[in-house]
Amino acid sequence: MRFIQQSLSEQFEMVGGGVSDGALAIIEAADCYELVVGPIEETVTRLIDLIEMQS
Amino acid sequence: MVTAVPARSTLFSSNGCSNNIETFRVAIHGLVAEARVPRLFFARRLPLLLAGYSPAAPFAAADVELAVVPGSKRGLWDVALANERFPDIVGADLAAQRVEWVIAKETVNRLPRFIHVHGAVVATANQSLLLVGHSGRGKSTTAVALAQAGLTLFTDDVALIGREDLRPVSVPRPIKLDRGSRMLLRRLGLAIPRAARLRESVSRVVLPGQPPPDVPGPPVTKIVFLAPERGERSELRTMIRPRP
Repeated sequence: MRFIQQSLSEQFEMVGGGVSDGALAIIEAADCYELVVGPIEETVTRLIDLIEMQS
Repeated sequence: MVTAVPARSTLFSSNGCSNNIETFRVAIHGLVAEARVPRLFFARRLPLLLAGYSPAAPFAAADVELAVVPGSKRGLWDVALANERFPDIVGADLAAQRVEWVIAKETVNRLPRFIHVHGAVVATANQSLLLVGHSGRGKSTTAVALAQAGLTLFTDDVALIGREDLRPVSVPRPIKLDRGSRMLLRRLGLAIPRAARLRESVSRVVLPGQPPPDVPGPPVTKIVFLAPERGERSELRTMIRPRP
C-alpha cells in the first residue's frame, strides 16, 4: 500500500505538475504493476503477456 | 511490424505572413496552435518537430498563440506566449524544441475532457496499457518495442485519456529516442534514423500506424510503473491497491 502511494506521488505526475483526481480515477479502475526493466526482448514478452491477460 | 521514418514536414500548414516571419499552424483534438517564428532560423527546424501534427484549417482562430523572438543576446531566443515567456534559450535547435513542447503542453491543458498523464500508451484490440515512469526509465523504448511487436502505439510521452471512459487518444508528438534506445531497438530489427538537421543526441521519429486523433483506443485496464532500477531479468510485480 505504501508503495503504490509512493508511486502515485513520485511517478504519476500530471502534465503541468501534481497528481490529479483524474489520475486517481485511472488508478482506481486499472490493475497496477511495477516493472523492473531487463533485456528488451524479455520486457516486451512480459508486457505482451500482461496486456493479453484479461482483467 | 513497423518502420520508423525520420520526422519530416508533410502534414502541417505553414503560411508566410511577412518577409522574415513564418507562421506554423497545427491542430490537436480540435484546438489550433499557431507559432510565428523567424523564417531564417526555424523554417527548416520546426517542420522536423511538427511532422506528426495535423494541419489546422486555414481560417480557424488560434486557441494557442506563441512567437519566437530574439533574446537578450545574439544566439539567444525567447519563446513568448500571451502571459508567459521562456527567455534566452540557447540556439535555434533548443528554441524549436521548446516551441513544440509549448504547443503540446498548452493545447492538452485546454482539453478538460481528457486526463493528462506523463506516460506511454499501447493497446491491443481490447485493452490499453499505460506505462508510467520518469524520463529516462525507458517508456519510449519499451513503447516502440511493443509497437514493433504488433501493439498499437498511442503515445510515448503525453497520454490523453478520456475522463469518462478511460479510452486513450493519440498525441502527435515525434518520439524521442537516444542512442542507447536506438541500439536496443536495432536488436529487434527496428532501425531508427537520426534526425538530420537538429543538433541533439536524440532522434525524433514518427511511427506510421499511429491511430488518427479522433479514434479512441480501448479503455486503459492496466498501469505499469517503471521501477527506478534495472535488472538482469525483467520482473513484473503486482502492486497492492490502497484501501479506500
